[in-house]
Amino acid sequence: MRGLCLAVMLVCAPVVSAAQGLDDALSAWLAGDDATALPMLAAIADGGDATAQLMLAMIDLRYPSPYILALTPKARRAIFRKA
Amino acid sequence: MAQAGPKAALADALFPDGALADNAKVAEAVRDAGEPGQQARAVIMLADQDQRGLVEYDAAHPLPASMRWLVWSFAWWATTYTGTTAAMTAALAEAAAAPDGLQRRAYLSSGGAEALGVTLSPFDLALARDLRSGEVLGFRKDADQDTAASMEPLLMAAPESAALRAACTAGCAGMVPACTRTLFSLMGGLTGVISLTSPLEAAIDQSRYEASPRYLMDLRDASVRMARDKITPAPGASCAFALVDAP
Repeated sequence: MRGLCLAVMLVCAPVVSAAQGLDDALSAWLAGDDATALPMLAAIADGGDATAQLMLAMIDLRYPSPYILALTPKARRAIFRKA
Repeated sequence: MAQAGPKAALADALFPDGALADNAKVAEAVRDAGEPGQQARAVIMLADQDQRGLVEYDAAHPLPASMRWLVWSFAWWATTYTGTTAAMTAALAEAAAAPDGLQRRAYLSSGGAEALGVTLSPFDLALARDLRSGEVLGFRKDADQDTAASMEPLLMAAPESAALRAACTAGCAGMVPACTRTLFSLMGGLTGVISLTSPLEAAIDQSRYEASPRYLMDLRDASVRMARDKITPAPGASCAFALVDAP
């Protein structure tokens, strides 16, 4: 189910403008909502946004959140593979 | 990561291909890219691994004002390695002229104090140790080494602990001094506090990060890595623990 949600987020997120999407993703991350923020950042990073790519890479270097720890290896790669 | 401009330089510095990056080079590159928080992290790693390198790095690229005490502390090692007293002399002069705040007190050690011509009490040495690495809460100390009463007013005034005070003011009104001291200790003292930075200040500036729920989450993550079972909360500290334990 989590994989399906991630896939939906990855498909739908690019519909939002990149700048607005990035700001929304950063706000969600600051609010502690990784389940919203990280798939959004991954979708924006997939579109080539360097800030989103760096942000994901820096998050990946930090102590992992409970959300990240609960991801399957495949789902984690889907989020962080470009970072 | 194929990019152009400052972001490419930042990415190359932080995520180099192949060999392990040299921390001094990383610190320089991330500073140039406008990421002081990442510079602080790289400098702390450099200080852990290569004290002489830290002093040499500072000579070429002076550390931020909030990190001067690291250079003061490690200048002695530079003297040992290079046989020159220039670095030590410069560091001592700077430390002697610095305001009597957190950094100068954290720097104090028996060796540094002797070189400065200062006579230190066991209490002063204990306070310096606790500022550098965090007080061991509840650990029984001799009466002349109980730094709690002196740490609180310092932490209530120091810019380095402003974010902790803000968190305690929001979550532990009425117990802010004890809460701030507890969070400071849970973070491992001055070094730990300045390591807690925005992941990417180009996207999220430090003040926005410190005002966010994510900052409290990161405080919590850092705290749980301390030996919590060895800590006996002091009166007034329980609210600080509740603050970092909150879901």
